[in-house]
Amino acid sequence: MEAAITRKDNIITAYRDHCLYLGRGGTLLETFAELMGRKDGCSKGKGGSMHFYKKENGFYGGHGIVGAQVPLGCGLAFAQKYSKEDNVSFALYGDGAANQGQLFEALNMAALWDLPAILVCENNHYGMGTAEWRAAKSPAYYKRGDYVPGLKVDGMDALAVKQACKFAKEHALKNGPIVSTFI
Amino acid sequence: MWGIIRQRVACRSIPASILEQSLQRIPIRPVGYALRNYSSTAKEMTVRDALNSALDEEMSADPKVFLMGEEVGEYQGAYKISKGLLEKYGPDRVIDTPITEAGFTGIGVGAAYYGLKPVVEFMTFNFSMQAIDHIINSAAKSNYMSAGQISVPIVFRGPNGAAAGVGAQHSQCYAAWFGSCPGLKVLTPYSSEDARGLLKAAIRDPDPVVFLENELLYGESFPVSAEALDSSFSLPIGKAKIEREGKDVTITAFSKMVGYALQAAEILANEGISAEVINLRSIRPLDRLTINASVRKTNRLVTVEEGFPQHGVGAEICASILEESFEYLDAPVERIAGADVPMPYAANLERMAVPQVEDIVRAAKRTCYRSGSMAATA
Repeated sequence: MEAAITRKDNIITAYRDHCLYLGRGGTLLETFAELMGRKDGCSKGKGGSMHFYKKENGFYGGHGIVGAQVPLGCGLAFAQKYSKEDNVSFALYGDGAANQGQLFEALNMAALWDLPAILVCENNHYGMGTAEWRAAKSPAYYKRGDYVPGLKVDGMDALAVKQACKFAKEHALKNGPIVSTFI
Repeated sequence: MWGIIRQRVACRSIPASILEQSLQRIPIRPVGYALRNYSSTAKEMTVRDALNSALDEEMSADPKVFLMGEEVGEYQGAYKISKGLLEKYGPDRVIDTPITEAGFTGIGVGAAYYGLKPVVEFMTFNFSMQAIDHIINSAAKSNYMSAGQISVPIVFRGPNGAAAGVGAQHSQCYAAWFGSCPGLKVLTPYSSEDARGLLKAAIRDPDPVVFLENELLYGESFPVSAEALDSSFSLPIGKAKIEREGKDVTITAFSKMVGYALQAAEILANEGISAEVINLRSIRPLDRLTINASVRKTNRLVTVEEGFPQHGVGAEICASILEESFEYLDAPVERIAGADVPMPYAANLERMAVPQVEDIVRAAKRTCYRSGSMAATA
């Protein structure tokens, strides 16, 4: 993903934020220190595992409430459009969070206002301990956008992910939000 | 000038009133001036206009400020608070949202993360419950959790508490709930000057602010000073105002109840009890210094609020007094709050579920040992 975008594009995710933090310029020392609750941690030990941030490099966390990061990510995209910047915001979430109502609320507004928001569902087929087939009637999360175009990507293929992100960024800047699933 | 004359008169034992009357018969109009009212508080303003002008001025001063909510644009505001703003600032800065509180509150907080200054309007704070996760977990706690990296300069505003005949789901007061959350500032204006000064301070503040207005106060007019009309005016957050000085009992109140407390103070004055009325203005941070100083002076306290009694604002004030000024109390603290019941619809029941002026008067008398019964029910 990082290969396809810049540090002026924003990324926001839920609590699996460790690697994204490293990808956005965080150091291993800060990561381990934060996990140990020490003051050299990236959030000075006050945030913990779920709350890593690196605002100057466009990484906005690190959120514990499942699904909350999607409206927040659309808000980041809103602010980029408001400030007339040519950048996008990626909001990452899991297949468990894909069922959250606030996701659809935010997507509706992103589509209404043509926000440069890219929703990325990292599908590992489980939400907490519950298997996908027991939680989601339709596991084709990239189709859930309905009026918003969707992209299905092989998440295990690094080059495919890079191309998808490059495409998504171009699309979002021109046409508004796009939903994608990385399986 | 009149003061000096009164002093000299007192020394010579001429009744001051007679002297003043005779002096007033001499015209003191400077030549060339048209007849004018020389009072410095000649201008009156409704709370609605006060809020509208505050929003207008802050949006004009800072292009990062924008307004978002249901009906704020084309409808001119559900209660006309944002009248004229869409026309003046355009649809990029005055944004009508669908009825999706969780979604648009999250979008507002995300925009604040990036550095914009959103003002998110809830049609009433009852609907803020749909978005309360974003207010508390995404906004209030972020500055702490990120060790200062993420600041959230957002304002959540809208009418709070009981209106008239809107039923249980549209009448709750949220001051106590938001007031207990670290990371939030919670403001409750009463007069037009409060509304202007506190809203401006809230918008300029780098932290999330919950701004609790009152629908029934929107149409009320209050005098505003020339200072308050200036566009750089703002009031400090965390300072209460002593609306009326007194020496026998302290009455604390916020929002609409300040008006009721002032009326109660008038009635009490006729019965020989001098009540000091404190307009809290700020629920969080609570101005414990002013409240305690007042109770140390009067030795008696009545707390008034519209919300539910359990875990209410009054409970917190009582605790604060017990912790800091216990020895100064001459009577148990009286808590006046809304009835512990979902707000009924029928007008007569609604009147009984919300504190009335008589309840405040009775409570004040109880603290002064002027009534026989020590019963808690008003």
